[in-house]
Amino acid sequence: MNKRLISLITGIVLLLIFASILFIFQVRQSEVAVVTTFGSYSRTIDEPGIQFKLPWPIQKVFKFDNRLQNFERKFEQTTTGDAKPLIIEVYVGWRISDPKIFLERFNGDVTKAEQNLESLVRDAKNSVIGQHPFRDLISPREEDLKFDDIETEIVQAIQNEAKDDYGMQVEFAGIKQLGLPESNTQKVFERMRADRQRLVKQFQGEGESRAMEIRSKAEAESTRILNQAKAQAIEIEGQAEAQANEYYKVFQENPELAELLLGLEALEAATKEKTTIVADPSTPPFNLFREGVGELTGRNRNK
Amino acid sequence: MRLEHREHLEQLEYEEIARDRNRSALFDESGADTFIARKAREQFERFFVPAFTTLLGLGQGVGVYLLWKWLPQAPMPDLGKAPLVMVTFAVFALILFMLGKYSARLAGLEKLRLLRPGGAYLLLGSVICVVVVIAFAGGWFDFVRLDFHLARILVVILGLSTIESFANLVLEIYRPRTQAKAQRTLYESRLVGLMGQPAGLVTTAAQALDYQFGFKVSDTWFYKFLERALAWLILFQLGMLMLSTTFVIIDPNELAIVERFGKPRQAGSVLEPGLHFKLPWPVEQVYRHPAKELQSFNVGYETSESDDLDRGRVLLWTATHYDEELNFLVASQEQGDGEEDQTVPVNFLTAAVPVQYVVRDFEAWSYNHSDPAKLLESIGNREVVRYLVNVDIIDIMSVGRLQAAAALKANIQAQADELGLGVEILFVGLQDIHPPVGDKTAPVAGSFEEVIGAEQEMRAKILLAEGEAAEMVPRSRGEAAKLVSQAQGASYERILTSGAKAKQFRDLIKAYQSGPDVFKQRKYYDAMASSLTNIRKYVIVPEQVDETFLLNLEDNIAYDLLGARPEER
Repeated sequence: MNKRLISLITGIVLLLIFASILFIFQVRQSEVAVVTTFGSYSRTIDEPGIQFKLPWPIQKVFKFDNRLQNFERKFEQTTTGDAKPLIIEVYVGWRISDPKIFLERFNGDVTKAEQNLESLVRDAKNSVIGQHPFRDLISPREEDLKFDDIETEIVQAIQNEAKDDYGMQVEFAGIKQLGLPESNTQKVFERMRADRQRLVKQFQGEGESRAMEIRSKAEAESTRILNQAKAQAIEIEGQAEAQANEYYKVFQENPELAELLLGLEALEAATKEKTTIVADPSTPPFNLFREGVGELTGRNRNK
Repeated sequence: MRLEHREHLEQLEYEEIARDRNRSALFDESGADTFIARKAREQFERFFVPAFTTLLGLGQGVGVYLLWKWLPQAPMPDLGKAPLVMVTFAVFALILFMLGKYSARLAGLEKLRLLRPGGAYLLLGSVICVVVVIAFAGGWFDFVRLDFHLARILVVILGLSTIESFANLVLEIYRPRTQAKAQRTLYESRLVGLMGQPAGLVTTAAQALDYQFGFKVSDTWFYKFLERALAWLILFQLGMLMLSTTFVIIDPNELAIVERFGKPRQAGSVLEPGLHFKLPWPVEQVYRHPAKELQSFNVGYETSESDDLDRGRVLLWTATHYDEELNFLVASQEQGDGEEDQTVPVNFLTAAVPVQYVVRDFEAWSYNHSDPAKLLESIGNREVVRYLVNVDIIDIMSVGRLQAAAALKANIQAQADELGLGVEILFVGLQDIHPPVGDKTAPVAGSFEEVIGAEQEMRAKILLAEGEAAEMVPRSRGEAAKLVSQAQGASYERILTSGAKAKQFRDLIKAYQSGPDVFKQRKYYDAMASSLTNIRKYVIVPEQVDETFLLNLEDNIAYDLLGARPEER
């Protein structure tokens, strides 16, 4: 092939590429575009596809993301309706609802837009939280809780202004994080600790009392058992005494002898230990010391 | 340049005049004022060019300083558009190369020497474009920070060129001026010339080779072929480039979406892993995302890669587990007591909740939100916060734990569905739910442990008491049994003894009746004998009836070892 023809074709291809870069642009499904002519607004393209424009610097194309965007910035301290401090972080979902206004207000700069949205969000957040008592946000009772309502109120507070002034549609807001300021955190720690200490004391006391209860019950039981046994023993002794008495009736047969025997028995028992007897020599058998055996014998003989 | 052009015209004019002079010899002028244009040019070169060179050098110097300072904080370029940037810069490189080469060739002609530095700078621009292409290619093929190093090298070269400019300026003053030799322009950098024409190096090398081998390498068929087929090669390259955009390979962990002129393709817009064909760029474009991969985020803690290794294998409540642990607010059952108190009636809870998910509806994932992963993370956080503000701390740490994980999973899924994220939540774990570590003055987690300790102590006390009770009652039973048995024994003894005595009495009656006095006497003496045997006895014999005996009958006979009486000690 002719070398010149090839050069021509190459040139045309390169030219086409340049021309397409200058005259054509694509808008993606996820995008919305604004075309300006010499700086003034011409049209908005919110359908994806291929589009024509005049080359720069006549027409300029600004493309924005038309999807929902998530915005969150600050963990910020605020005060509830009942004057309790609270740190709260809110995230907000927004999308560009009017690209023309968005371009005019922020020159297409999303960062700038978010800075302005942040002011709105902070204002709305503080005023909404300021109208609710603390228990609307944190409560063990489901019926007290207005968590979801607060989020809705924040959205409502921003919605109109964002839409009219910024060209941004705020679709939802959520509370991402809740916290307390440092000094309150400290206090909560102390309270939690005190609460636990109370439980510790309670457990200690309960332990003591339960142990005491068990012990005293056991003591009562053993006292009962022992006393029952004692009573039984006395009863047995009584019965034995009664029975023994039956036998002792035999002493009635010869009271004189019985008296003698019981007397001797008692004497024997009484002088069993540690007894000192001071005896008169006339007391038999000590009379024998004085009278002597002979006398005794003589006396016996005199008898 | 215009000055040179005027000088050239002037020279021609002068030559013509000189020819005329030969004819007329009327004027014989060769003074300095003959060549006004040359003078103007010389004046220009003497004053303006050094000033311009100085300014250029200063500008370069400032540029070097600013660039060097800015480089470390330069953001990463968007690699998503790397192919487009590479193609654009390649085209720029080509155009600049052609312009530069043209200028350099023209500058080769003596009269247009001023074009030479311009041509050199154009060629340098072309080289820089090639460097940009290389940098992007490096980024594309994962040579991280190649662009950074290349940029550093370029800044260094710019710095060297600045130094060279000033050196030239100084050297120019001492350079011997000869008429014959064409002047170099002051701002022409030899370094830039060398950099801008690496081909010059090649030529030099080729010439060296020519000399070495004795034949002209530059005359070889390859060199000739290259020259002839350049246009073809460019077309072929473009064609290949287009062809390479007609298919796409999706990795196993990825999903991709095909857009035709920005709109998702009607049929099969989502591509599964594997090889797929499509219309060439820019008609159809593919956007890929590792959507098949299990993705996860953490609520309540932030951790670094090396975290698990560093912290050892024991996780305790009393020590933090992660780089950053958040305290969640949890409702307190005692709420409402402290109305006067500024202390907020809440508890803190440290929770670590990993959430794992996969993308189910890739189109929704791609088109509904600009950063769905981030949004899902926010939703996850919100649901955890929302759940915890409504539960009791002890409840969630114990019996409510499993239920909480299930509820959180359901809530996050519901929110994600409502916002059309196109994800499926696979796992929500409550891997750590415990009281916060607290601080030195109020170690909260420690006090929770104390409670457990106290509870154990309580149980121990109860068990001890139960043990004592278990011992006490049976022992009493034993004692009771002993008491009863003893009583029984005693009663047997009493009964039997009395029985025996009764029997003995009957026998004794008989003995008594047979001799009552003797019996009495005998019994008396028997009793005396047995009673008085082992006891102390005093028998007092009164000589006088009126005598009085004083007897100390105290039990004081136990003398101690010294023989002294107790009262004497």
